[in-house]
Amino acid sequence: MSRHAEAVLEGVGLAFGYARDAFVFSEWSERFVPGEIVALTGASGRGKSTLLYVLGLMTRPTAGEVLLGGHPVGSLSDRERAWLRATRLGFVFQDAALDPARTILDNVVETSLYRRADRRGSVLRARGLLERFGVEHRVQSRPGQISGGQAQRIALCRALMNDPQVLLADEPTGNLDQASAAVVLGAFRERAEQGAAVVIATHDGALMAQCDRRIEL
Amino acid sequence: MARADARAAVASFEVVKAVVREAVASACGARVASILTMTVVAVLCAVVVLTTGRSVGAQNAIVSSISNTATRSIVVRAPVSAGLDTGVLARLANASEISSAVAFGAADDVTNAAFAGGTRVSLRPEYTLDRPTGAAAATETETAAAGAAAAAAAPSPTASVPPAAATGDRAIPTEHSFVEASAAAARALGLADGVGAVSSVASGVSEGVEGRIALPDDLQFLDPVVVAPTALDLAAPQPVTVLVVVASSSEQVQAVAALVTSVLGLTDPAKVTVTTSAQLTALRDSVQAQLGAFGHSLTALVFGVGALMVAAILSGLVVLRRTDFGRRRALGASRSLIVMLLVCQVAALATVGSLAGCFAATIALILTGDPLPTVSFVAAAAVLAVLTAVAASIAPAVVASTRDPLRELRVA
Repeated sequence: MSRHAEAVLEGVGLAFGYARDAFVFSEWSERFVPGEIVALTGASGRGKSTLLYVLGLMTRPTAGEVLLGGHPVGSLSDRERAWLRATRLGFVFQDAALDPARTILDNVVETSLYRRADRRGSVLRARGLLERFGVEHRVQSRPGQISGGQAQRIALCRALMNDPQVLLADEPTGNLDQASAAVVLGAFRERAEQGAAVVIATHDGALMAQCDRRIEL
Repeated sequence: MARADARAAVASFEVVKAVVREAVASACGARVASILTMTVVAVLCAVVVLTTGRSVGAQNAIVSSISNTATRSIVVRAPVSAGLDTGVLARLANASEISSAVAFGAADDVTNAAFAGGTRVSLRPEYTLDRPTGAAAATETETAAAGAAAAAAAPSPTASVPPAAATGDRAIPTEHSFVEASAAAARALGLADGVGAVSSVASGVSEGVEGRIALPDDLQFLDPVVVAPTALDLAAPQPVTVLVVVASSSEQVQAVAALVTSVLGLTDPAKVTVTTSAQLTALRDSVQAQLGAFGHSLTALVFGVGALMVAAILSGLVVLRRTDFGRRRALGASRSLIVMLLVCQVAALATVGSLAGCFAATIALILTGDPLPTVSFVAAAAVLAVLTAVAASIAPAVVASTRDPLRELRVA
């Protein structure tokens, strides 16, 4: 995939600090084009996860601008940013972040509410994704009853529910065995081939090696 | 255009349905908080029904007891020389504000006809427009045969009574088909079972007493009395010394009193006294106001405490489940959707809780035999409890909607 293709996601002069004048990163700019998998790497505390949340429109940068599909999103309202997260972005959290009180199927289908999708169709799609990732037999289980690898695959199913243009993943293989990590990476590659940009924050050398590009923070 | 509107309506309905489904599922997921919320609302409703509701029931009973006929009556007293006569009944006949009107002629002292020198009791002829049986209230009339037999046994039989006797300015009742004694009068006269005969002290005329009359509240002031229901002949008005008019409602007492006063047709108004039950009406209003104010204060207090408890529970829930709200935000839930979800969740729980609380409290009141509030009061308490819980949930819901995914989900 050419770096000169139109960026689906772009950060321009981004800076973020939890405290005034104490930036985790600053003046950070990068473009992400469809079809590539990019690894964000760097030592702990350099702001990989924070940058991922900023790029995922979950928090606003202290300075700079995020462009989604070429359009700046900084001036959008909370509702508009939420709508973009629900419809155009997918996110795989480091610890899967499943709702422990709900079934696996409910966890995967949850996002359909936020993007106002038909529930029946969403359930069918969720079952299909769960089957594809080998966890269809756990649809009525609760997150506490499954392994970490299964939880991460379920989180991946949830992130893929809306066919995201941008897939963001925070240490997605950190707690997984080699086989599970391979399944997750395969899913990222497939999604990228379908035209999405995939951005992964990781320490995992094996995963980094599979990525198209690596950005050091 | 209409098709687009219909599609939009269907889409909105689907969203609402999805939100309600998610809210119910979330409520089922957070069992402890849900049970606590339902319990608080149920207790809140039960307390309101058991305290304020019971008070309202008691208040209604008290006010109802005060608002009986006695509190709605206007009593006109006039000597025969004042010129008040039975024609006044005809003049009051068409007044819609009047529930009933009864006039009594001059009192004539009577004693038990069976023996001389007994206790004297007043006998009053009674006139009404619409009382064919004569008695103002339910009577315990014994059989006519018994009264007739008693009269026959008396020294001066009824058959020998001369018509229309009069003494001074007091009209002596005559030609009554029967007379009835109040319980107190029967006791005073020594009439066993209220049956026997009485004899006028002034004229010696005897009357057969056929039974006891239970005086209604508005005529209690006449007790002890022997009442002689008398046919009303408007062509030949009879003197009236006591007129008792009962207004349709206590609120109309003053207006009816004015009306009665205006149609008395007196020759000497200075001799007449008109008494109303305005004081009792005022007492009723005072009781109603004081009990009502107490009930309102208690209700406000209970709902206030309930609202605080619901808010506290939800605040705890928000703190405990902040990761959940952060995750929802990260996955695309807008702030308003999260507020809507929590408010719906509380509304659903509060509805179940309020129904359970009202039902349990009503059963408790029935079992203990305490006064029951009206259905509308119980329904209002339930609705108010739900609204209170929903209102109390808004602040915690807003807090939940502002959870920052970065702070809640980021693993250090």
